[in-house]
Amino acid sequence: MSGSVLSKQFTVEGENGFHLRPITLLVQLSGKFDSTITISKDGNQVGTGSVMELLLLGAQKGDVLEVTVTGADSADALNAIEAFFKETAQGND
Amino acid sequence: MTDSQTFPDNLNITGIGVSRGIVIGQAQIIGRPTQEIHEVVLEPDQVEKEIDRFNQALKASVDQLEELRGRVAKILGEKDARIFDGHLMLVADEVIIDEVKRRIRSECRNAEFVFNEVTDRYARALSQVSDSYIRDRLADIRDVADRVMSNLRGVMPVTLDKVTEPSVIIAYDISPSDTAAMTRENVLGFVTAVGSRTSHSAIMARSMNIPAVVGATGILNQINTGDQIIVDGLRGRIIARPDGRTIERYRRRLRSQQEWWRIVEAEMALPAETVDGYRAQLAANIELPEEVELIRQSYGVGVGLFRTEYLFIDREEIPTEAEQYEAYRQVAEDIFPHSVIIRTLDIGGDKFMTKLQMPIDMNPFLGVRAIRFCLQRPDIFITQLRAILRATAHGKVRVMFPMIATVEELQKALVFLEAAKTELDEEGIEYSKRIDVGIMIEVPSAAIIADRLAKQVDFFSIGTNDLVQYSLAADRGNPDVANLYQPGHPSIIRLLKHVADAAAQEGKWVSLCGEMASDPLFVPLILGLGIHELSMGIHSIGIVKRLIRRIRMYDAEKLVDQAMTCDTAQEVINLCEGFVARTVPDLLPKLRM
Repeated sequence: MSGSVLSKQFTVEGENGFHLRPITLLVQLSGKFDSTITISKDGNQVGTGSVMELLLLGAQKGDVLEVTVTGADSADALNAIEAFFKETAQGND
Repeated sequence: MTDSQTFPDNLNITGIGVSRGIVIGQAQIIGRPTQEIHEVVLEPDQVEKEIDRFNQALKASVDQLEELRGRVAKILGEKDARIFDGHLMLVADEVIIDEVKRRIRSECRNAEFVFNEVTDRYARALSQVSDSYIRDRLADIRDVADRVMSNLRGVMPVTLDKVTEPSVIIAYDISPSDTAAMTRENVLGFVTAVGSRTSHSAIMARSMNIPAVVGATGILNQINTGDQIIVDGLRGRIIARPDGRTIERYRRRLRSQQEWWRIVEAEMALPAETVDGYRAQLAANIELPEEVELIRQSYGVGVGLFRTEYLFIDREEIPTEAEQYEAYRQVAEDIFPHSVIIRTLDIGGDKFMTKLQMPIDMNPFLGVRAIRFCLQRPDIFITQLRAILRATAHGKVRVMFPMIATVEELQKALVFLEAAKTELDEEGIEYSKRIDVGIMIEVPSAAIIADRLAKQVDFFSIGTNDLVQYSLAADRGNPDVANLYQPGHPSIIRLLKHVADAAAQEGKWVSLCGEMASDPLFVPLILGLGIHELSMGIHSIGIVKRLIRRIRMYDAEKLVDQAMTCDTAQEVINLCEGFVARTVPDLLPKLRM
């Protein structure tokens, strides 16, 4: 599988929304993959290179985020992101 | 600093007075200096050098944050250090960095100016986000932006340990590490932009008798290091760059107060006895064991309230039994032959501890605080009770439970006390079997059933601050309802009378340890009600004693009869003012100067 564009929706579960801590983790995670990862909410699309832009999405608990992954390792990246959202849903971060 | 700003002279600034006294001195700002950003137009050939400078500032910021992260991880643990991961991410934010570099190039402006514009725009955008938790990240962004800016300018923060000249310290907040570096030699007084009566720095200020004002929002934008400043810690007033007349007025006040203190202190060794021979017991409220030394040197009274919160606040670990025992034992030994009343942990409400996961209450004053918290956390409660019990072997120690609202709560607390005794017995650890147990009367329900509660305790201590706030349903920290916080309200006078009568009926003793005890206005009324023990901040004892020595108990009791017929707090206050003005004519004018 190479170069495919994958996308999936996730719901923000953390009590405090998509705040600095999970965003930091997501930016760190995204850096491990070659694929380009973008996140959109209500039509606003941002990359995962900027903590600031992700914060400005202002995603709260219950909001739906659409993650789009483009690149050679897109499947692995999406799996990792899915695991990330599952984990932050359980943790109290 | 070279780029100090010009501010208007004789500028009045207000905050919350947390430690009284007047000081006139030179301001010394600690923490990050306020920074005025200048716009500089660059020549095209300077642009790349400017971008280089920006890169270096970013690198320096990353290095500092990594060092800080390592230090915090070592001292406080990995979890607390994680905040710096977010800060490191923000410093490395490629969107911000790219935009700053692009605009330095396209607009030929200096890095400070462009960086400030870019971060400001993001900060403004973030302040529009509806989620308050995310909005609060603004503080992190400002923190990081300040750091980068300081590195760009090559100006580093001043810390208290570097202040050698006696100064009035001005800061956004005084950190626990700065508080530890506070001495009477370098700190004449202090003013902070944030904070409360119960923050660590406020406690220290009161204990060291240093005038202090907190919550003076905007102070950092109104003063420069080196400016002359007057701080009035009683009224929470600050005057920046006072004119000659103002300074003269405050000097007169200062002199007059000092004179007055000398008169008051001349009577220090005399008993607090009324003209007609009734003796009142005065005692001190303390927050730190070190304060006992001052009490011994001056008034030689007992400790009517030892607040134990200082052991728990501004720290990461819950204090061990050994650490608490050491603190309680020290006070018990130092205050002997007088006694000390140790109040068990009163946390929650407006007092929080960093480590204890306090439940988030909509209304903390009506939520899980004080005894409610302790009853939910037997581990913390029993540890404290064991430490207090062990201290009884070294002096006269009494224990007191705060915020009792029902008989069941008292009974549960007593079960824990018994459990702690049993544990010590089993371990063969020494303590006094006969320890007096009392409760704070600060919830109206407890005041009303005082006749029932009196059968199960050795003493009452009335905490009027909370009693007033709960009775009139008014938070005194909220300026919109602070006028309803009325210690002189007829309901309060009646509750006090009921509690005093109930205690007398059962032959139990009762003291009053709220701020009413140190307000000369209410002292005659309190004595007249039959409350003969008053516990207050050490620096109020002289004035209260001087007043008591001029009162006739017979008149004080008549004052109570009159107050019982009043409709409003104002009527009660008028009566009390008349009484004090007749008894000690120079007292109220002096205190209000």
